[in-house]
Amino acid sequence: MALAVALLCSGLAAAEPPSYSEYQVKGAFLYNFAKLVDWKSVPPDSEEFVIAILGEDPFGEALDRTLGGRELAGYPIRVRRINSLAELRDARVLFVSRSESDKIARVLGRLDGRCVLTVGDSPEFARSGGVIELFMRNQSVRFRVNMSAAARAGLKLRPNLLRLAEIVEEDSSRAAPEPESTDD
Amino acid sequence: MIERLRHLSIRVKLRLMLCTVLAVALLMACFAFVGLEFGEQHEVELARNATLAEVMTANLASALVFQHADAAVETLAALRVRQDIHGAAVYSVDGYRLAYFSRDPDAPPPRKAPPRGNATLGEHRITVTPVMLDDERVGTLYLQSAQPSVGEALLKKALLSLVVLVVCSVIALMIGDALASAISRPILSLVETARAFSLGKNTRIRARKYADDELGMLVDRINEMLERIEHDTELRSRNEELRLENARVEEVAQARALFLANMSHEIRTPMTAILGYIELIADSGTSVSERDTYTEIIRRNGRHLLDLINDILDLSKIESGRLDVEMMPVQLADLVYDAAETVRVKAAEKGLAFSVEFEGALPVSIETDPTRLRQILTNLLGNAVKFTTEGSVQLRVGLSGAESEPKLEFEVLDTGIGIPEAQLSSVFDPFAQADDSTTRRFGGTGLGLAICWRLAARLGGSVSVSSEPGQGSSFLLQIDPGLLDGARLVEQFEPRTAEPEVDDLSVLTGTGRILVAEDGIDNQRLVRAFLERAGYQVEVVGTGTAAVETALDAWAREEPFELILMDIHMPQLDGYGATRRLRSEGYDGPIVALTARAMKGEREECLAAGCDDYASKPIDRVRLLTLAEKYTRSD
Repeated sequence: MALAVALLCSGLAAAEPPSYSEYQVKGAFLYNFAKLVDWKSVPPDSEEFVIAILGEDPFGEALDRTLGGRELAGYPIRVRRINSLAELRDARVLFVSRSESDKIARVLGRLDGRCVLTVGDSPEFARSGGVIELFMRNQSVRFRVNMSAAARAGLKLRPNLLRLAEIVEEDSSRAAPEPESTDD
Repeated sequence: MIERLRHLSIRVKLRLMLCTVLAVALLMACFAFVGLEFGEQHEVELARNATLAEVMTANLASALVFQHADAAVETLAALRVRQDIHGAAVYSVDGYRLAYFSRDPDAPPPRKAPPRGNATLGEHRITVTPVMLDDERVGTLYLQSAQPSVGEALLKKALLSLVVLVVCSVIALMIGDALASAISRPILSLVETARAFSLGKNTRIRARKYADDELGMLVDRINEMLERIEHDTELRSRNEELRLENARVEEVAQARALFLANMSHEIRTPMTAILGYIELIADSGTSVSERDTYTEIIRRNGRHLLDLINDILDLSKIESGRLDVEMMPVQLADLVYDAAETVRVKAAEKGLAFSVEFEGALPVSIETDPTRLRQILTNLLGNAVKFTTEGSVQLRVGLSGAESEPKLEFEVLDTGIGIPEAQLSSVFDPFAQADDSTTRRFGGTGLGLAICWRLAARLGGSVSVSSEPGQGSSFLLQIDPGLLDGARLVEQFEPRTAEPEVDDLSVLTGTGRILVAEDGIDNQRLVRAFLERAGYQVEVVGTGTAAVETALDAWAREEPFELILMDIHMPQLDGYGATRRLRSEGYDGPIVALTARAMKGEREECLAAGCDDYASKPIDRVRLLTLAEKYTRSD
């Protein structure tokens, strides 16, 4: 397990840290976001803790290796790649790939009210109604949170997560692009 | 050291004791305190760091998992307020430093995570704890805190203890002093008491009790002891006094017995001579010349006996304190010459030069009892003449002593046999003539000086003696001359020529009727013989009543008696009563009392009863005839 976690950590502050790829980091973030959400209010309806990836998979198999054998909220983690929301089923975490950037509003609209932690790295993902949006700043992965979206999904984010997040207001039009977000 | 301690006073010892105990107690308390404090501080420090780590961990955990170095730095920066934290760092789970904070930029925390646990780096304590997110270890927290400075803490505590020690010492010394004086004061007082007691200054002294403690008990016991000692001492001194008193009483009794024995001897000696020679006279074969000799011996012994009895009476009066002195102004020269006359003839008979010398200025008149002073002088002069066989007897009169307390001095110097030194101290004791042989050689009662000595004291003076055996003696009489203020002092007294004493019986004759009231037949006969031989007509009665009747009878017949000689001691009506009755009847003829008492006061009583004069028994023929002549003279 130590080894597995070690893989998730990047040595950004260290002079000679082992370097990790962007999606290695983001994969580890997925796990940690899930960890910092209070899932107790959510009644389990599955034997697994499913993390779904919608669209093109940017993580590759490494994610399965990393999270394989780990547990979240008491259930073993399962990573499932899906192509449509129909396959979402009991997934708790949904990563919306960048390949779905143009469909985000629609996807999120369909998820409205469901207890799913949505994470994406498309620009304006959070403003568009996603709960957590990943972005890069100074070569570090950072994230912003849309509190209204979290509330709509019935998710309670732990304060130490929020402390690190950039809080954004939901764009009512859900169309305006996020100006400062950049793509790597 | 111990030796020196022993010599210290209890006060100092108590002080030392208190200080020592205090110092030991404080030092021990101080060490325990500091040790405990140190241990405690250590634990507190650890606990504090643990708490700190825990609090930071929650924040640091998220920063770690999201690789948020800024947030980690920000979190660590909060440690700046903690002065004891010198540095801190968080390391990712694989040991790389994510963020750090250090007060010393030259000594940042290590780049790689050190092993977990506590360690010491220089003077700093290193605490390395894991950072957990839920149950998962997500990194490592490194804390570099100041080692709680043992030395400094100890020094602080020690200083504090020292201050406490000093303050406590001062307080303890003050308390100690009070305590010490509570102990030493009663002890010192005991010492003082014991010293005063043992010096005998004050046997009534008792130690003062200050408190009801052990010292108080000691004081009580010592006071009891003093009480007993004093009691014993008193008993002993009482016993000693009693013993002395006893001895004195015994001595007095012995002296009295000796005195009586002496007196008996002194009286019997002349009596033997008198009675013996009377036997011889009565003998038929005694010639006329022998009879004259014997008569002379009898008369001499009779006179001696009379002297002796007079002396004994005087002495007993003085001894019993019944001798009164009558102070009156006296012409000094008259008195001195009177006394001198008594021995002038005797001195001349023995061929001794006799002189009276007045030295310096002397008062014409002094205040004294002339009778007693004359008695002393006569006695001293008589002695001097008696004990001197050749040479001279001198009487010197002078003044001595301070002006405020002058003494009149009479010095009687002779060139006689002197007095051995061993006997000088006892010459004034009764019957203390140098030895019996002296009496045999010189006669005398042996009471004269004893009387002089006592009389001198009554006259406010004294008699002293100095003597050189074989060379002579000097008796010095000093008396109080009374107040001399304004008294006339003269340098020279007129020497007085002696008026020859009348002792020629042929001159003392007379005529006339004399009534003699006398109960003793022998004395009736004697008085009748004396008077009839001088030419008087004598009628004798034996009682006072008869005397009154006879006298009044004759007076009524207008043939009164020219003189009544009235014996005082008579049966029925005594001489006083008879005289008083005669006087009450208006009888105015002369009455002369005859008395055997020869006591002071007798004369006054006689005169008070109405007598004109008195003569004491034994009846002196010359005196009797002189009186008879005086009162029957028909002028």
